[in-house]
Amino acid sequence: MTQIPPLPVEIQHLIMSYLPPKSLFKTALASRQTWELVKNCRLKYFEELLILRDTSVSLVPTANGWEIEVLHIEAPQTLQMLFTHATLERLRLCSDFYFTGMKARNLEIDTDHTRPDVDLLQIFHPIGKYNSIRVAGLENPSLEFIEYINENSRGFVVDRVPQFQSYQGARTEFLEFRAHPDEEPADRLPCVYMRDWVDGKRDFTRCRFIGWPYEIMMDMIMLQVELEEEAVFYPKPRQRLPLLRIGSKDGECHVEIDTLAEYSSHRMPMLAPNLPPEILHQILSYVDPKTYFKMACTCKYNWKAATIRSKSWDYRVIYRQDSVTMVHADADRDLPMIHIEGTKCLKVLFTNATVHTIVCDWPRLSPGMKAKNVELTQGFAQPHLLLMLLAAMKPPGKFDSIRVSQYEDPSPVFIEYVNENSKGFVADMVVNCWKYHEINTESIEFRADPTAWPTWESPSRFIEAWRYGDRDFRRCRFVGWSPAVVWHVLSKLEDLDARQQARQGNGRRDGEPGSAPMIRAGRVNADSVIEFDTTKTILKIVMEDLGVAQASY
Amino acid sequence: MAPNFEEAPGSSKRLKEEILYRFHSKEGHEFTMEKAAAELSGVVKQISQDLGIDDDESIRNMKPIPLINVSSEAFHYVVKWCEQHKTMPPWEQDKWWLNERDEEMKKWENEFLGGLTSEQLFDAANYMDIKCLLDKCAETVAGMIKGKSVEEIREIWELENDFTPEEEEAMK
Repeated sequence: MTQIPPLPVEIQHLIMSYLPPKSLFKTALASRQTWELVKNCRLKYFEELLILRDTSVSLVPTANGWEIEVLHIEAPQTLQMLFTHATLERLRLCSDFYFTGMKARNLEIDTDHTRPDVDLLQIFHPIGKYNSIRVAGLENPSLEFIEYINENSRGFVVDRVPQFQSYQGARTEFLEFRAHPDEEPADRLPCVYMRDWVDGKRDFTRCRFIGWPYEIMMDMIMLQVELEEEAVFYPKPRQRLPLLRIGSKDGECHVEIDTLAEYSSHRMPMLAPNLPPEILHQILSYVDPKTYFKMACTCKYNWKAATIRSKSWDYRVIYRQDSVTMVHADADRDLPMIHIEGTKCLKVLFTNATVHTIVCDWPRLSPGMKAKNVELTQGFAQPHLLLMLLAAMKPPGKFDSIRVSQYEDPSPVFIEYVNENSKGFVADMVVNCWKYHEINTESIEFRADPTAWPTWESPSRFIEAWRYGDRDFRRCRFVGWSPAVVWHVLSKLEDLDARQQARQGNGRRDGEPGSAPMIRAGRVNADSVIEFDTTKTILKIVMEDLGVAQASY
Repeated sequence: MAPNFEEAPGSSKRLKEEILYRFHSKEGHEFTMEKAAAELSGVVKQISQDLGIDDDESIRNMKPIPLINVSSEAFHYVVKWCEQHKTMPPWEQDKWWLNERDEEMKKWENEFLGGLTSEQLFDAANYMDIKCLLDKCAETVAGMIKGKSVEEIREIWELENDFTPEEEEAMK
């Protein structure tokens, strides 16, 4: 088809239903006729998430889940034209404001701003049933409210509630109960739901409980073992038992009852309690942290075995004040971040574990926890505490690197500790480098505070120390020095004839590794960089971005 | 080259064993369409219902259905479409999320509509009330507008800009 034929209005509406928001908006701007067409179209459908707040309207692509405002429209009449009579794939209400005739297939209500009731649900009711309704922070909903959801929605998600007793009447096909992050629920709702399902008092496809305490998960396991023994007696159509998945979902304690999945083939691995420890340990060595935690949760024996076992995680573990996150050390792996909540999870994952890197100001170390690399995100007023912390984290041998940030006043004992116990050192956001002049590790890096232009002294000092044999670093970098300093250091080196000195000093020949430091001067990520690299040949002096493509002695 | 309607999939020379509906196009050509394929059309279903035709024998004995607004060329493509979709689940007009088609079918549909130059197909789908075809035509036309500027949309739809500059400013 190359051309649009004159069409009846209902077909024009049909075409509108296939247009994404921006095209719909542009179509409306074409003429009065198309403006009215879009305004009155009852087939408008947005597959994005629409967030209605008191002060803003955001239309967010739902595919990736990131909140990016794709439409920046301030004109109220334009918003009105777009969203009146529109059906949203997902609508999040964060205020009591909405557009006439709006419908939503998935509705999310934030109860910090409005208390949802049946009238509100009726307003956004799409053709057919809601796909899901999610309420956050709603305590003690009315029976009428729950009943309406049971009859008019396939799914129901309850979030951020401390007590779930009043939700026992929820009977949609899909259910999810997410506990309040600050409070583990004490009720036994998961057990009630599972028992009811087996007795035929309830019928759901999937039911999730997130944030329940570990003890209830253990009770569920016992309940399932009990049910399994009786399975043969169940009359049709309940011959299959519900699948019970137990473990950590993004670091939260998680119980899932799934009545669709095959019972035998998809069950969580529940290892036999009498499995020899060495075999169990071998199995555990193949799994990622999430699965590791799930397997540990399967029974007390596995929990103990998983906790005491020595393990190695190729992850960066980032400790913040109120969270712990694991990110794979290899950025190319593109693995999702793992957010860990709960001290039990920390204990099972990190007791006797060696991780790639710990990033912290002050970590909550699990017993026996070690790190190959340490990144300290703030300075330390009490050096002895810092040394204690480093000693606790040090693996056998040396650290691969220790990195400090904004640590302007290192003590001599800290410098000494670094020299003796780490192969590499990075000082980030420093202004006064001279306090680190005694650093003597294999690789050294200084990254200047981007707001400051440090002087030439430090680079010159390190290269001269190398030249006279006081240092034997493999690589030494200065990032963030001004181009003028770079030139200064280069010219100084030229005067010294480093190559000659090297020949006399260590007997190595030109072109051999270590014959003389390679000097790269240039810009990395927009920072000026001076780099002395003793593993490369001096003949490759590169000055990038400084107007000189290549120079040699 | 125009299709040879005498030997087309919908021509009247098809096997006698098949349960076939017969149709007359605008030009008077007679076409047939297999029962399952023809019943994708809301019009065919409605006519059968109105005439009380509820068994295969009655369909065989039924007179050709006159389609006074559908050209032979358009009907030729309608038959192709319906034959391809006759085993699909019923089209849910208001539950578009139930109408997901597999990748192979999507590819076939895109190739089928992408190669057409006839706008009559849209009219035929509308006239015969074939919802899946109508929807796909709408999606195809929408695809022509997606990503276009306001000026380009005006050109495609042959519209005149009748907004005042003040109105245009207020809308942005």
